[in-house]
Amino acid sequence: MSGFGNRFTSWLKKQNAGLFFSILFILFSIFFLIVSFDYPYSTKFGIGPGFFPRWVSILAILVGVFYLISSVTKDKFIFGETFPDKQALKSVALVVIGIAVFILIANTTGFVIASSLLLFSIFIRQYNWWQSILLAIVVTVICFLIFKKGFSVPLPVNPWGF
Amino acid sequence: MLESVMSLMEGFSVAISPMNILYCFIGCFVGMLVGVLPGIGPTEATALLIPLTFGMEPVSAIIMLAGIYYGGMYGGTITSVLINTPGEAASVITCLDGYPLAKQGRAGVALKVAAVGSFVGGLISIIGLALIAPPLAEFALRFGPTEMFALLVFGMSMVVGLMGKSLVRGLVAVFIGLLLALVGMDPVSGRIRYAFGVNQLVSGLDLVTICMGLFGLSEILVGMENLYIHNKTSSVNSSRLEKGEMRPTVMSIIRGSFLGFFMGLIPGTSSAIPALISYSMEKRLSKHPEKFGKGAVEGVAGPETANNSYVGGAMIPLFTLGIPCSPTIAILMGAFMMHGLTPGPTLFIESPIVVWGTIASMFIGNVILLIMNWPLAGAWAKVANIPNKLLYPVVLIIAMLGAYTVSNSLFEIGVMLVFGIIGYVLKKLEIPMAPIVLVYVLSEMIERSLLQSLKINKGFSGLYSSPIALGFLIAAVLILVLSLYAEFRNKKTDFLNDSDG
Repeated sequence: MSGFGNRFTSWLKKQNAGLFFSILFILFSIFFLIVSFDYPYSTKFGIGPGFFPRWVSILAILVGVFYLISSVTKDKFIFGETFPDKQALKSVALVVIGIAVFILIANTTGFVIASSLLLFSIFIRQYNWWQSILLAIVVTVICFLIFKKGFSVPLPVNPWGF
Repeated sequence: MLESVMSLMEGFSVAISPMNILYCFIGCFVGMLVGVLPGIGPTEATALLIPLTFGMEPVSAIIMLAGIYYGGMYGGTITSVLINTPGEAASVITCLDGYPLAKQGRAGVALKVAAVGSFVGGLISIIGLALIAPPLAEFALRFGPTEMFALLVFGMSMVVGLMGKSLVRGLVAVFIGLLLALVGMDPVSGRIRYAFGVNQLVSGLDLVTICMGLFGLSEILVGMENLYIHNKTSSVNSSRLEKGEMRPTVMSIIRGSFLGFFMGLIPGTSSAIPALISYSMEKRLSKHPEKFGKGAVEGVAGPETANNSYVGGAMIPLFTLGIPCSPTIAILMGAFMMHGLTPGPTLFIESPIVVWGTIASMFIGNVILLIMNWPLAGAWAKVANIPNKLLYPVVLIIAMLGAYTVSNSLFEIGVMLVFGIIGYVLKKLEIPMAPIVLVYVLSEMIERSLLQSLKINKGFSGLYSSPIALGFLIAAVLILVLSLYAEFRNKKTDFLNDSDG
C-alpha cells in the first residue's frame, strides 16, 4: 500500500455511503426495468407477465431518486463514520472470503476439510494455533455428524466419505 | 364462542399427542436457546429449522416453529437481566430495570416476575387469538381480489410507516423486496422471469436463504468486527417480592397483557414496541416513577408481559388474513406454504387441525416455558457465558448448513453470502430489513390480486368503488402522511427497529 492507497482510503472515508447505495439501487431498478421489456405487457387474455415488473421497477426508480435526494440533503451516512475501522472491516472481509472459498472447494475437499479450514481461519485470530485446530475440527465433526447422520442431509463429501 | 371452545378442545387432542408435545418442547427449547444467545434470534432459528421440517406432519412442523417464536421472547429476558445484554430486540427495555435489580442481588425477582408475566401475557393473548380469529376470518372471506390488494397495500404502508426511522429508506426496503420477488415463475401466467438461464433461479430465490443472509449472516458479520467482547453474568439469588411491590406488579402484568395483544394485531409493529410503550405507561402510572431505571419490578413485569402477549396478537393477521406482521411470522408463513397450507381466511375451514392444534400447543408451550424459566434461569444464564469468539464461528457454520439444506446445494450458501453482505450494508445505512422479507412473502399475492382486480373491473375502478378497498387505501395514505409528518418533527424513536420479533 503506497501513498496512493492511503489517499484512496482517506478519500473514501469522506464519501457519502448513502449516495453510493442509492445510485446502486437506481441502477439495479433500471436493470429490472430494461429486462421487463422482454416480457409481454399484455396478451390476448389480458394483462401479461410484463405489467407488474414494469410498474414495480418504475416506482422503484422513483423511490431510488427520492432516496438519493434525501441521502445528500438530510441523512448523510459518511463512510468513515458509518462503517467500523480498517481492522474490524478486515475481519469482516476475511470471513466473507472464507465463506466464498468454502463454496468453491467444498465439493472437491468435502464438508469436513472445507469447514475446518474456514473455522480455523476465524479461530486463529483469537486462539493460539493448537486450540484453533482442535476447536475447528471438533466443531466441524459434531456438525457433520448431526446433519449428515442425524438429519441425513447429503453434505458434500470427498472420495473418502467426509 | 362455543364453537371456538369446541374447536380448541379438538386442537388440544392434537397438541397433546406425545410427538407434538415433543416438537413443542424442541421448539420452546430452541427458542429459549436463541433468545439467550446474542447474535442469533428467533427469526434466524425459525428459518434454520424450516428445511428440517420437510418430512414432518404440517401441524407438528408449525407447532415446533411457533414454539421457537414465543420461546425466544422468554429467553431474551434472561440475558437482559443477568448480563445487561438483550438476547433479542424485544428485551432491550428489560435491561433498564432488570439489570439494576440484578446488581442489587435481586436477579431472581426480576426473572420470576418476567416468567410469570410472560406466562400470563401469553395465556391471555392465546385466549384472545382463539376468540377473535374465527369471526375475523369469516369477515375476511368476503374479500375479493380488489379488497385483498387494498388490504395488502395497507399492510405494507403500516410496515413502512412504523418501522425504521425514515420513510424513504423503508420504501427502498419495500422495493428491494418487490424486485427480488420478481425472480422466478410469474404467479399468473407461469412465465419464468429474471432467471437469466440459471436453473436455480427458475423457482425464485428461497425465502429461508434470504432471511438467513439478511438477518443471520449479517449479524454474524457485525459480530466479527469485535470478537473479543466477553460477557459477565450476575448470579441468581433472592427471588422474593418486597412488601408493596405485589400490587403494582400484578397490575402491570394485566395492563401489559392487553397492550401487547392489541399491538400484535397491527402489522408492522415489532415486539419491541409494546414493550417500550408498556414501560413508559408503567412509569407514568407509578407512584414512584423515580424508581424506574434503578430497579423497579413493574418496569420488568410490564414490558416482558407485553412482548409475550404480542405474539398471540401477531398470529391473528397471519391466521385470518394471511398477512405476516413481523419477519419471524413471515418465515412462519413461508413454512405454511411449504407444507401446502395457505394462511388466510380459508385456513380455518381447510385446515382446522393445524390452526387449532397450533393454538392449543401454545398453551402447552407456555407451561413448558414457565417451568424452563422459573427454576432453571440460572442454568440458562450459563449458556450466555459462551464467549463471542467461540459462539459466532459456530453459529456461522450452523447457518451455512441451514442454508445448504434448503436445496442441498452450495448455491444456497452463495445466495446467503450475497444477502449477508447486503444485510451488513443495509444495517450500517439504517435501512430496515423487515419490509424486504414481509413484502417478499406477500408479493405473489399482491401481483395476483392486483391483476385479478384489474381484469374483473376492467381497470382501476374496483379500487374506489368497493368501500372496504377504498377504506384500506385511504388508511394507507393517512399512515404514510402521518409517518412522514412524525419524521420531520423528529418524533420517531430509535426503538422502532426491526432486528427481531
